[in-house]
This record gives sequence, C-alpha cells and structure tokens, in this order.
Amino acid sequence: MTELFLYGALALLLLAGAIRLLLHSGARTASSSAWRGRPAEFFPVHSRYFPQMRWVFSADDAEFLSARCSPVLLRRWKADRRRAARLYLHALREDFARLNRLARLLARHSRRLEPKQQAQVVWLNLQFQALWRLALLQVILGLPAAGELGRMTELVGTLGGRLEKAAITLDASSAALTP
Amino acid sequence: MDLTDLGQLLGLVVTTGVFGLALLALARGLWRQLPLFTTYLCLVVVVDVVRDAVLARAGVSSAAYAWTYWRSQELLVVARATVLADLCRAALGRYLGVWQLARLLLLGGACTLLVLADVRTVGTRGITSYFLYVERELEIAIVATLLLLLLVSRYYGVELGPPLGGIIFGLVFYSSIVVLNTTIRMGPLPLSWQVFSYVGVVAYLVALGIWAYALRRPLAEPARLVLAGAEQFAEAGAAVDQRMRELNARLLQLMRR
Repeated sequence: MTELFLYGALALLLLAGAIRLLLHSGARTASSSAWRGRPAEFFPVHSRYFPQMRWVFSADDAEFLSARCSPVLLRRWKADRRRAARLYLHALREDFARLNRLARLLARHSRRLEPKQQAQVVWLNLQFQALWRLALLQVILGLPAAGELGRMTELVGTLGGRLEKAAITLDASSAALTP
Repeated sequence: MDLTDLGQLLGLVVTTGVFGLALLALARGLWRQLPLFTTYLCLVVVVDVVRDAVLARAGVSSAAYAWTYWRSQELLVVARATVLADLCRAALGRYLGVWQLARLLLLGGACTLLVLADVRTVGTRGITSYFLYVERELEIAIVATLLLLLLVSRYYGVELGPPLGGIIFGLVFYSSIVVLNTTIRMGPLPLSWQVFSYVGVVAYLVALGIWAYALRRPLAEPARLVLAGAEQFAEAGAAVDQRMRELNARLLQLMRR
C-alpha cells in the first residue's frame, strides 16, 4: 500500500509540475516582449536609495520617537514605516529580478557556459529569495531588518559584478545576439 | 458489448489513430524538427501491424503473442526514451551554451534515474512482473527528464513552440498514467489484465489526441535569428559594459556609506 501511495503521489506530482511549467511557458510566450526588453529595463533602479531606506529598517528612530511622541502618533508612524519598508523590499526584489533576467539572457546567448558560474548565480538567487522572505517577515512583525537589507543590496552588487565580468569577456563572435 | 469486444474496438481505434497521426506528422514535415519522434510514430504503426498479425495467427493466449507483445513493448519504451533526446535538442539546440550545459544535466539526471530504476528492479521475480517494473521505472525516468527539460527551458526563458509543448505534454501524460496503472496493477488492489490493458490503451489514445492537437496547424518555420552587425554589436556591447560599470561603482559607493 505504501508503494501505491508513493508512486501514485510521485506520478501525480510530476504530471502537475509538467502542466504548470507548460502553462507558464505558454503564458510567457504571450508576453515574451518582457524577455526581449530594452537594455535599460534590465538595470536596477531602486537599490540607489539604500542609504535613505537603511534608517527605515533600523531601530534608532523608533527609540527616539517613542520618548517624544504620543502613542497614537507613534503607532501611525510605525504603520507608515512598515508600509514604506514593504514597498522598498518589493522594489529591491524587482531590481534583483532585472539583473537575474539579464544574467539569464546573457547565458542563453552565450556559446559556452561555466556550470560553476551558473550554479553560483542560482545560489545567489536562492540566498536573495531567502533573505527577502526573512526581511519581509521581520518588517511585518515590526522588527528591524537593516542587516538583511544590507546583505540583499550586497547580493545585488555581487550579481552586478558577475554580469560586468560576463559582459567584458563576451567576444564579438560569440555574442552577436546580445541585445 | 463485453470486454473482449471493447478491447477489439479500442485496438482498432488506436491503430487507426496512430496511423492517422503518423501521416499527419509526415504531412507536416515534422521529421525536420523531430526526426526521432516521427520515427517513433512510424514504429508504433509497424509494431501494431506485427502484433495484430501474430494475434490473428496465434491467438491472444499464445506464447508467440506474449513474446511479441512484451518485446515490442520494450522496444517502444526504449524508442520513447530516445524521443527525449530529440525533444531536448529541438528545445535547446539553438542555444549553444545552454544546450551544452543542459546536455550534462539531462544526461546526468537520466543516468541517475536509470541506475535507480535498475536497483529497484533487481530481485523482481517473474518475467511479466520484471517487464512491468522496468517499464514503470523507465516511464518515471522519462517524466522526470522531461520535467528537468521544462525547468531548464523556463529558467533560461526558452520558448517551446506549440508542437513541442504539446508533444512533451502528451508524453508526460501517457507515462504518468502508465506509472499509476502499473503501480495499481502490482499493488494490493490488483486490476485484471484486461482492465489494466484498457486503461493503458485509453491513456495512449488521449496522448494521441494531444499530439494530434499539437500538430493541428502547419509547423512554423524555425525563427531566423536576427544577428546584429559587428558595428551594432560593438556599440551595444560597449553601452551594456558602461552601464554595468556605472551600476557597480554606484553600488560600491552606496555600500561604503
């Protein structure tokens, strides 16, 4: 009976996974212009505001204001701060996604891919996603998340660095398709 | 209508369906894009004809028919497995780097799954049970490899054209149903051979329908890649390079603050 459930679940999971991926592929074909976007669409725009946003994610202002504001005002300030932090987190993820898309586009049109480098990009992606979720949870709970934000900005920088290297090492014959 | 009549009817429908699909594939020129898949469809037609001939001469319960059935079944599973190579090449072959990397991944994945299948089937007693086990493990390897292909395609943003997506879906569907069907047949709720066989045939008919639907329109000519000229490339490359340098300088500056 165990085998029946095990294999049954495996077959259904594989089938469902394939259907999902095929449907996703179809949906993307319809909006494939997003993948062929202009070069400017691949560059991050929000990470430049990191110094300003660092304060939103730190605990210093809260301590200062709690000693000087009314509880009502403090609550409203905290709610606004959480909203701003959430918006910034989403924007930072968008920045990373843009670079990631550029990385995959460059890889797609390269003549040769280094498995190690590709694995590193996947690893960076996983790290970023994990940190992003952690930071979001901290923001929702009202905890400071400046550390995670700094690390995420570093990851955006690391990926940018890798892409710069990739762009430099692309030779004209191999990358004639690069947008 | 009893089960024997139903079996004969299903057999007739499958033979007609496969023959029609093979003709459709040839008419659409599918061999240019998927030569092994087209060969597989033709092979199914030949196998069906041979099976029917042996059935007519020797009868359904004869040793000759059993031998022909199981040997051809093995041949078809192996042919379906070679279709994987065809599908992977058709999906990713245009992208040299991705294809090179994907070949390693897909080959590694398929070999691992085959070794696992071999380990799982060691010690299986009875030739029929052995064939069923081997078939089930091979079908799992086929579905898992196709899933890996879909994941790689999705990751690198490779679009699968309508015939390719439909053909992959048909294969995944049929293999998944075979895995389920075989598991139930070998498990604690054994199906009768007839019901087992009919479920397989109906699943195959559905797969034929999916493939026929994928081939309903003439195949599009492979998109010609528009290559930028050397000058344009130099300009675009320099622009991207400059933007990346600016971005990194800005990020470094921000992190130092």
